[in-house]
Amino acid sequence: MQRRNFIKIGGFIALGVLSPSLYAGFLEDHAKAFTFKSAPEAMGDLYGQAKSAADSKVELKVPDIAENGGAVPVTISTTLSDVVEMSLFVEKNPYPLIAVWQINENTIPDFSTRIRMGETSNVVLVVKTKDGTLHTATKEVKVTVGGCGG
Amino acid sequence: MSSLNRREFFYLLSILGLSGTSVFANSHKRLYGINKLEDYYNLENFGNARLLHITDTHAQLMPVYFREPSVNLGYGSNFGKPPHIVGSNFAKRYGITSGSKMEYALTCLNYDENAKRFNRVGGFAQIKTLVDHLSGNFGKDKTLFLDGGDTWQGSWTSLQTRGKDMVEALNILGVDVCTGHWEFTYTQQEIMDNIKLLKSEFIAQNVFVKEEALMEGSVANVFDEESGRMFKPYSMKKMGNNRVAVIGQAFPYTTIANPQRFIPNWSFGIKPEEMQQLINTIQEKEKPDAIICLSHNGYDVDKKMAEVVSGIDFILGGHTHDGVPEAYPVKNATGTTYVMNSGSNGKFISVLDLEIKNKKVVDFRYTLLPVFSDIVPEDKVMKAYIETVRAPYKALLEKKIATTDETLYRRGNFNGTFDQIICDALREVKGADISMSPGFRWGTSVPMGQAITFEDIATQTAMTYPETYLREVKGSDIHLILEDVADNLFNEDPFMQQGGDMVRTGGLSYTIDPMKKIGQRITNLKLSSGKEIEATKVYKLAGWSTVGSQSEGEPIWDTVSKYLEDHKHIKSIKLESPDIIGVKDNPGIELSLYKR
Repeated sequence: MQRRNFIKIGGFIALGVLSPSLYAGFLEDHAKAFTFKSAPEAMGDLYGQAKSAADSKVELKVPDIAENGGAVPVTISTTLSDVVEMSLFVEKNPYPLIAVWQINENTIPDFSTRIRMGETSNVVLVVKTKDGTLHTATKEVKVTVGGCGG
Repeated sequence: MSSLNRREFFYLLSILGLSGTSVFANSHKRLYGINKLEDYYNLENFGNARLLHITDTHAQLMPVYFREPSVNLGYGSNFGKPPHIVGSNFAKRYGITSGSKMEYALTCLNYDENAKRFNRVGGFAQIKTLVDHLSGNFGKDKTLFLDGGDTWQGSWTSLQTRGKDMVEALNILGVDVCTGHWEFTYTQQEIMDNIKLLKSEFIAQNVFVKEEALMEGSVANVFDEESGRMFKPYSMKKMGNNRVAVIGQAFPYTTIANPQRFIPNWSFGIKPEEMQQLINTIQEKEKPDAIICLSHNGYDVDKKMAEVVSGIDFILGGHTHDGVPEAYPVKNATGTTYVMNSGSNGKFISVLDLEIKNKKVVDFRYTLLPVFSDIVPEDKVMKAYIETVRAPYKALLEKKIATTDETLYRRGNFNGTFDQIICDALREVKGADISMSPGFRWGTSVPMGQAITFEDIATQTAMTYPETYLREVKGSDIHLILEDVADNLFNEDPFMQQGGDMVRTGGLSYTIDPMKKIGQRITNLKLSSGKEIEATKVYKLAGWSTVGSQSEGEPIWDTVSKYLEDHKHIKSIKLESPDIIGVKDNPGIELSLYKR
């Protein structure tokens, strides 16, 4: 199968997963987290005092230097089982919480997206498992004004 | 590959000014005692596969002058390591004697006198002769000829023909495999058209078609829709009885350092994980006898890539224009990868001979050969071709614009004398307080006493986004720009360095502490009047080469031509290089030549 056909089908399926009721429930639970201006505050709102540690089973794929700060490609995935939620933060963005993914039992925790970054910052991926623990991966993405390479 | 670590004593080459130190590890022996200089090119054949490598010739079809840098600072793990060794420290490391031909080819020392005595270097007609000589001696069927890119840009004729003059030059040279960087500053369509004309393969494992473009199906000739790779990532080459894999690595930061608007559908990056996967696949599927990476990463990025990726035997690198006469060993998970860099502007040819036994490289010889234009006879076919290319532009190219008492050059971490002329021209012609010119590494030299021709100006400026600008910027923005560029040069992580030297400035003085972090390196910003730059005050800034969008002003070669025509003669140049903190013991700077 050609890559673009695969992506089209993949996109179609993804649309079907998010049912309206789930979406509404999620917003009620988490809407406030998106309004905090610091990453620790937003994380605290989402996860309270839950234990968190860096985990090599959590994979965050970002470029070392962004080609375009307005659309930085991010791929998040994990080999952990019993994943219930994934969330993505850009520490130095005005509102650090970028997105939260709620993971159903049958969903493969592997997503790609584009994020906007105003300046060089750490990007943090948090994976929450059924037991309530948090597993993280952090990478710095450099955003440069560019233009003097030769 | 432990046997490769063997350090071999270099054959005594007194006539060239090499006193024979042990750092020339694994260098070739010469066939004869060096009684005649021509014998320098008669290498003892070694092994059963020969790789020839040129890179960053920047479209210099004709022989040129090129002064090597007097400032090339390295920090962290790169402190005092190749290529961050210049001038007298370089001469000491490699046993080069004063006033010798090798001093002229490899260092900035005694440049003015040496240029007078030893004349030009490089030239495609000379390179053609040498390459035929080196492959003919060894056996054409066992020789592979690689070009590392930055070949289609850097001269007036390459700009006028949109790189096509160089495509045909590569065809005549007989190059087998290419990769690129400034090649990508033409439009997507032009690049693909040129590649169609190119007889050599064009490979790159790290250029991908953006997903949106793939989905729309708007990009023609995609190599592999599955992986999204725009170009073939590697090529299997038969060298005698051996099969060698060559992996292409284009300049990873093309879309950051150069405009995206010419190549909107392509995405770049170092892509070390993809590189490792590719190597694993090649090892499994092709079972090669050796793996070579043809890279345009730049020296420090190559060294780090050699560390984090394993399985590559040799990285033949470019981009940073470093003429380093040794193969630099880097340890990684499964063995050792050797990193080389073959200089720029047609000045050098790398010769790498491999001894391959039982599907393994067991030993090698590596020599960086300077191309002394006076010694190597011109190839007739190439010479005639170059004349044809230049004919329509000859009068303009040879037009004398001014004369100079100063040697003009660009290469180095901070302002070169030719950059200073560009910065002075921008300020004077456009009426600016401050001027900026990019820290490109290309651009040849004009020795003192010679005329500055339009061709000389073109070697500093000929590119596809030459438009100038004059705009008002706040003092705080000037600081921000300097900090950003300094971090692209001095970030301690080579993967965070996007390439290029420090931006050149006019009308401005500052102090730089390269060891500090971004935001803290640049202090003491002042106008040339001595007045401090104020963060909230607005200044008139002139510059050229805008990456984000096209600027509105005349092309920079017009600005520089006008300035030089007005002045007619350059008597002396005041270099506005910054004060650098903490470089007293850094072998990456020749302090006796800094700001003179």
